[in-house]
Parts: sequence; structure tokens; C-alpha cells
Amino acid sequence: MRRRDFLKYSASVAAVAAAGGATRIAAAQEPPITVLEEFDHLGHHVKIVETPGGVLQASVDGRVLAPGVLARLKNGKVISALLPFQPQPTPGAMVRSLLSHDGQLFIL
Amino acid sequence: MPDLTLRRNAYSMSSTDWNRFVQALRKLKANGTYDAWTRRHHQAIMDLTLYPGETGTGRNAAHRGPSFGPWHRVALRQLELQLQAVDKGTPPLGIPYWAWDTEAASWQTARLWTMIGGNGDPAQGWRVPTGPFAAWTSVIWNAATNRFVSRAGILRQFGTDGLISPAGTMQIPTYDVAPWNESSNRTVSFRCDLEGGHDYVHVQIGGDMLAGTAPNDPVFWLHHANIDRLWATWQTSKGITNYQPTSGGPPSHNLNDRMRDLPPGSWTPANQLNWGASNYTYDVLR
Repeated sequence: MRRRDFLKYSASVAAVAAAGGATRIAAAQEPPITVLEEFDHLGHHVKIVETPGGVLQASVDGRVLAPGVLARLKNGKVISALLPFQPQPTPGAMVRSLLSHDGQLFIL
Repeated sequence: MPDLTLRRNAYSMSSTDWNRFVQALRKLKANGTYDAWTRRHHQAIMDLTLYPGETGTGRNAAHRGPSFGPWHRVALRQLELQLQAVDKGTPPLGIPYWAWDTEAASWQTARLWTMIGGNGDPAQGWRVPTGPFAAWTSVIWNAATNRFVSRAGILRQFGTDGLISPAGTMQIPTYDVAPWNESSNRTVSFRCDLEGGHDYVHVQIGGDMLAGTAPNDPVFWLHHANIDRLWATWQTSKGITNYQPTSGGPPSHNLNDRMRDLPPGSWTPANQLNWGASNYTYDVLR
């Protein structure tokens, strides 16, 4: 985990959570989500957040990736339905791996 | 009753029978039947099979859970019957297996790659330039549109590691244990340990074998025929009906649950255990 900072719900973050299935409740009533990592890789800007329910969500260039693209295992490693045979140690490592195969093995 | 299907080591096949296999695959590719399996496999991976409220696992309809064995057994046999339908030769065409466990340390130079095409070419984005499937088109998943799209060629990017011998796996007496996923204790779960070794083959071959659309690469079937052979071998010593869970496990993984993301049919783990009843066998069990 490179960076961990807690944010209150803002309009932009609410949009990310809603795309992942979070309920549309007034922003002030929501617990904070956690920004796990934010970085640039292969020309893309990546932001990875974790909801209070423990759901990982990644956005690439502002677009939220589909549910199932990232999931955390009990042992802390991260898997993806797009690269199902090789868990990665962190969400960021998985997104980097996904981006390195984007356009070849799948389209993000 | 049709003739028994014999699945042979790919290296034991005559060139005539290997060519029958290649030609039958090409026919299924041309009529769309082959790509349907690639899509089905991807859909099974996307189809998580969780207890209500369960998190922390990637268990899905075909992997990371007990039905790993029986789901792929159905897939192999159904594809095999489809191959036989377009081949029509005698003896009935069997899917060959690649006994990667016998050349685990030197698999990158295995004879198999002279038969099925070799490693990808880095200058062509790791596209396989050789072999009978070099001109194939693959289907890949567009996660942005939720649709499959076409992509030229088959990709392979060999790793440098050796493969994992299943010798220890074969000694494990129990098919599977709770929590029925990738966290099951590999020292006591035959399924989890076998699946872990299986994953490593996917990862080391690389390219298309990394993705949920892994059947794009025909070596997928030779790999899984060997996995099925290892399971069948294990069953002969540890019990044909040795399968857990019988009940109380995750959906679609219990003994009598209907498995998902397969062609129409009442496919359950229970009706896949006695592989001999499905009218196929192997030339050599491990």
C-alpha cells in the first residue's frame, strides 16, 4: 500500500461508489471510503479505492472498472476475473498487470 | 453404445491421428463451436459462487472450488463428442493429453511445441507464428462494453520457471476441505493442490493462457486432459466417489448441485465422478 488517506464523501467519490453498487444515500451519512493507491502507469491514471464493505474498485482515467475486476482474498492477495490464475500482492500490482495486457488479452 | 474413446499422450499419437485432431478443431473453430467454449469458460470465471454475504474468495462456477474437477471434465467430454461429430473417423477421436508432469523442468523445449506451435514472437506482440493454429482468430472480453471481440492470432509468452510436480498432490487422501476455495489447506485438499499446480501451467505458458478466455489456445485442452487424467488416477486409489462437499458447501459445488455455465444438461459433480461411465479412458494413468 503506497498511500492511505481517508476522504469524506464528495460528489466525485460518490459516483465511484455508486457505480460499484453502493446505495445512493446522502453523502454526509456515508462512512468514508479509503483511497488505497493512486498512480500513473503506461500513460494511464489509476485510482484504487476500497469501500467500507471491503469492495475494491479501480478507475482508469476516471472510468470505473467492472465489478469482479479486482477482489481481495482472505490472505490479503488480490485476484482478477480477467487474470484469474495469478494473484498479485496488492491492488496496484494487479491493475499494473491488467494494464500491461490491456488490448491484448482483454479490453479494460 | 459408441466405441470407447481412448485419450492418449500426445506423443503417442500417430501423425495421422494428430492431424485428425487438428482438422476437427479447425472445423469446430470454423462453425463457432470452439469459440463458444472460450466464451463459456470466461463466463464461468465471472460467475462467482458465494455463500450469502461471503467475501474474500474468487471461487467461481469452475475454479477455486470443488467443482474445478467435474466442471472441466464435462467441458472436455462435450468438446470431445463435438470433435467426434465432425471427424467421424475410427477409432473415435480422443482429446490428447500433454503430460507436462513428466517434463516439468524442461517444458519450454517440449516436443509438444513442434506439434501445436511454439512460443510467441515478441516482435509480433507474442503472437504464435508457427504451427497449425497460427492463423486462428481469438475472442477476447471487452470489459467496457461487456462483449467479446475478435483479435488476431494466439498469444504465448513462456516463463522461465519449471512446472510443479503433482507427486505430492497424488498422495492427499481427501478431495477437498472447507472453506472450499483457494484458501483450502493444500496439504489436505487434493483439489486445491491440483488446481494450484494447474494455475502454474497457465501462468508459465502465458499469453492467452493467462486470461479467462484461456481456451483460445488449444493447448488449454491438452493441459486439462492431463489434469483430468491426474484426477482419474487419484480416484483409482482414493475412491471414485471420494468427493466433498456432499452438502452445505457453496452453490453449484455440492455433490448433487447442478453446475453452471455449461451447455444444457443436468451436469452435477455426482454424475461426473465415474469417468468410465462417460465412455472414455486414458492410455496410461499416472
